[in-house]
Order: sequence, then C-alpha cells, then structure tokens
Amino acid sequence: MKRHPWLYAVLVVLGIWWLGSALLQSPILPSPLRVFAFVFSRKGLVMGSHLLASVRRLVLGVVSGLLIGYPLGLILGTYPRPHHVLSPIIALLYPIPKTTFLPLFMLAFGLGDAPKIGLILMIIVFPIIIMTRDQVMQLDPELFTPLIALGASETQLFRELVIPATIPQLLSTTRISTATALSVLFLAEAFGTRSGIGFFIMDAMQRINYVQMFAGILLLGVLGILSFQGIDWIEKKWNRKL
Amino acid sequence: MLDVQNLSISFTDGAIPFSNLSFSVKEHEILTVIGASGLGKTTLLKTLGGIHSLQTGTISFNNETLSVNRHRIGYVPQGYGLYPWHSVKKNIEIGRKIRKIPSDPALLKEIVDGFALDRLMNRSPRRLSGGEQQRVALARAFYLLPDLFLLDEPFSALDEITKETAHRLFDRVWSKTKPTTLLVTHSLEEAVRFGDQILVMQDGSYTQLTNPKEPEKKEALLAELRNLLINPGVSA
Repeated sequence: MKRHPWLYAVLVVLGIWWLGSALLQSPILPSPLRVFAFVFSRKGLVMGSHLLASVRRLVLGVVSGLLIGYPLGLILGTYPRPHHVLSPIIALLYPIPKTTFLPLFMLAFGLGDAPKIGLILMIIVFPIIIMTRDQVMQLDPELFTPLIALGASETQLFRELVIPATIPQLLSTTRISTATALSVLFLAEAFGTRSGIGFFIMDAMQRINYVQMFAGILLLGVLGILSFQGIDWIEKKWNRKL
Repeated sequence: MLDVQNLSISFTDGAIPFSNLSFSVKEHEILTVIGASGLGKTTLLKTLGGIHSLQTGTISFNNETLSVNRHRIGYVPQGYGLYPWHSVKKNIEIGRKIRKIPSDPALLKEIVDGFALDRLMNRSPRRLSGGEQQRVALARAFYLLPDLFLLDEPFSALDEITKETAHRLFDRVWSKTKPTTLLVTHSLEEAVRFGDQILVMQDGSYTQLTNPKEPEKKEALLAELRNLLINPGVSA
C-alpha cells in the first residue's frame, strides 16, 4: 500500500466498481471486465481518434493559456501601471463560470476546435495570471537587492530571479487547473462536435451503449490522471533541483 | 575613496530617514555604521547600492560618480538574499555572471576554502543553517572582487559561537582582497572590531570617529560610543 499507492487506489476503485455492478445487476453499471474487454478489442480502436482529438484540444488550450497567462502575470506583478489597469478587470471576470462562455464562443468561432480550445484557455489563463502576479508581488525585496546593486538589467532580473522564483507555483497552478479544464472539455465536446471523448461518451449514452459510455469515462479518467501526474512529475523534478 | 556629501533621502510618505549626511571612506578601509533602528542605516546602504535613487547630494568613488554599472558593488542584505533555486556554487558565481566577468577558479577556491564552504557547494541555500547562509552571501560578494562592499548587519542573526567563527572568517577573507567596505551593525564591539572609521548615526546628527590602532585606546572609543548611543548627554 505504501510502496505502490497508485496500484492500491486503482485496485480499490475497480473493486468497488465491480462490486457495485455485481450487486446492481443493471446495464447502467456494466462490470469493469466488460468495459476493459471493449477498450482492448478491435472495436475499442475507434476511441483512439476521439482520444487524440481531446488530447489535442487539451494541450492546445493549456499551452495557449500558459503562453498568455504567465507573461501577463509577470507583467502585472512587476509593473504598477498595467496592474492598476488590468487587475480590476481580471478580478471581475475571474469568478464568472467559464462554461457560460461556451455558447458565445460557438457563435463566434463556429463548431470546430476553436471554441473548445478557447474555453480551456479561459479556464487556465485566469488562475495562472493571478497566481503569477501575486507571487511576483510577494517576492522578498531583499532578493532583488544584491542583483540591482550589481547593475542587473531588467532581463537579468527576470531570468535570474523572477522566473525561477515563480516556476514552482506556475506548475502547481497548471496541474490543478488542468484537472478543471478536463471536466470542462467533456462539457464542450458534448455540443456541436463529432469527435473527442466527451462526444464519444454522450453518443454512447444516447445509443444506450453503457459499456462504451463507461469505456469513454475510463479513458477520460486516464487522460486526467496522466496529465495530472505528468505535471506533478515535472514539478517534482524542478523542486528536486532546489 | 568613497565620498558622500550632503546626502538626503525622503520617502513619498513624508519620512526623512536622513538629511545632509556627509562622510568618506578611504580605499581598502572599513567604515562601520552604527545607530539606533529607524535612523536610515539600511536606507543609506540601499542608496549607495542603487536601490533607492539619489535625491540630493553627491556620492563619488575614486572621483567618479558612484554607479552600479560603472563600479562593482557587492551587497549583502540582512536576510542574505540567496536564491534557493540555485546551488551554493551558482549563488556565489551569480555576481560574475551578471557582470559578465570571467570566472576565476583559483579565487573561487580561495574564498570557498576561506569560508569553509567546500562541502556545501552543491546544496540549495534553503538546506543551510543561518551561519552557512551568511558565509555564502559573503562569499558571493567577495568573489565579485567588489570596488565597494555593502554589508547590512551580516552577523546580527547569528548566535554567539557562530558569530565568533563568522568574524574570524570575515577577517581572513577581507584582508586578502580588502574591498572598501561599509558595514552596518548594531553591535558596538563589531563596530570597533572591524571599523577603521565609525559613523555614528543619531537622530539628525552624524559623527565620524577614527578607530585608533592601539588596543589600549579601543576601550576609550567603546566608552565614547556608549555615551553617544546609549547614554547621550552623560559624560564618560
């Protein structure tokens, strides 16, 4: 249990699932064995293209959220004027549930990948901006003192101090936000698309094919765990350096 | 020589830490700065180190206006200002990296040995004791071969035993390169031990005293400092 906590957790969850399906004896909750049999069957290959579509949207959304949010957070944390102009707007927009933007994005960008990626971007970008900005503002001024006395340029201050000091929090926020983004991706893929794990799950439900529906849920769960663990691994690697 | 003339600083909240402050420090000498809290000792160092911009007065070093770009200034802040994402070695080397000065392995070894840091070079500063962190901060500033060395209470957070070791190591390494130094301290003993000159900051007035070389005269200087700082107005 202590040596392999993941194996332990997987076995417990599968055990509860199997027990539930055995007790319920209902098609709504098929046995995990039937679901795994479908996933590893030739028919299960159809999920590959849906998985790829979801991964593409997730990666593009997260990466674009980071590319916009992190530099913006650094700027807001460093320079008072952009902070005074933009921070109140960010504070106003941040609490609005981002899923409400989906219809707007669909009207603006059509039914392709753009509204889904845009929605994930919206989920990622706000916490990244706010966490980065706050962390820069909370940096101990004494850390800057020796570098300023050395005549360090602004670029050197960012490279040697501000960026390395904010990376751990950036990774942590990305990890948590990605989990939220994944659940939003499911919702986004339930509308106006014929690809993605979200579509696959909803389509299977409408076709009353609960084995396939659970296979989709399983795959979405695995995607979530892998992305969470992937960022966690990078975070640990970074922290081990410290 | 560092020459400060009529230096005044005022903050936007109306606070005036000091005004019309003048003093000088000869090259390769140490000026210790002593005074009660809140009289602007750290502000003085920050002004010399380019953190606060100069408002009135002049600061020159060897007849040139002191500048963080022209002169090498080694600054050790109160909390040491070490970077936990870098190893001790990279922390020590960062000054030369910023100034694009080639590394000097022989000098590095000398300083690292001088401060007994050789076993700690690959560690993160966050895994070091307070005394070790202080030695890393000093080593970082020394390795830069600074023109001007600014030390803000570098020994104040250390316990008595660690402090004595730190004093000896500082003496040893400083005497090898002898950078012109301003050392802010709260300790009368430190002020007399290290300072060739002592700048006493009081509320609105400043006194620069010369530290006599003769050991027997140091007691008299300590007594004078006590009178100035602890019992102002009471004769020795």
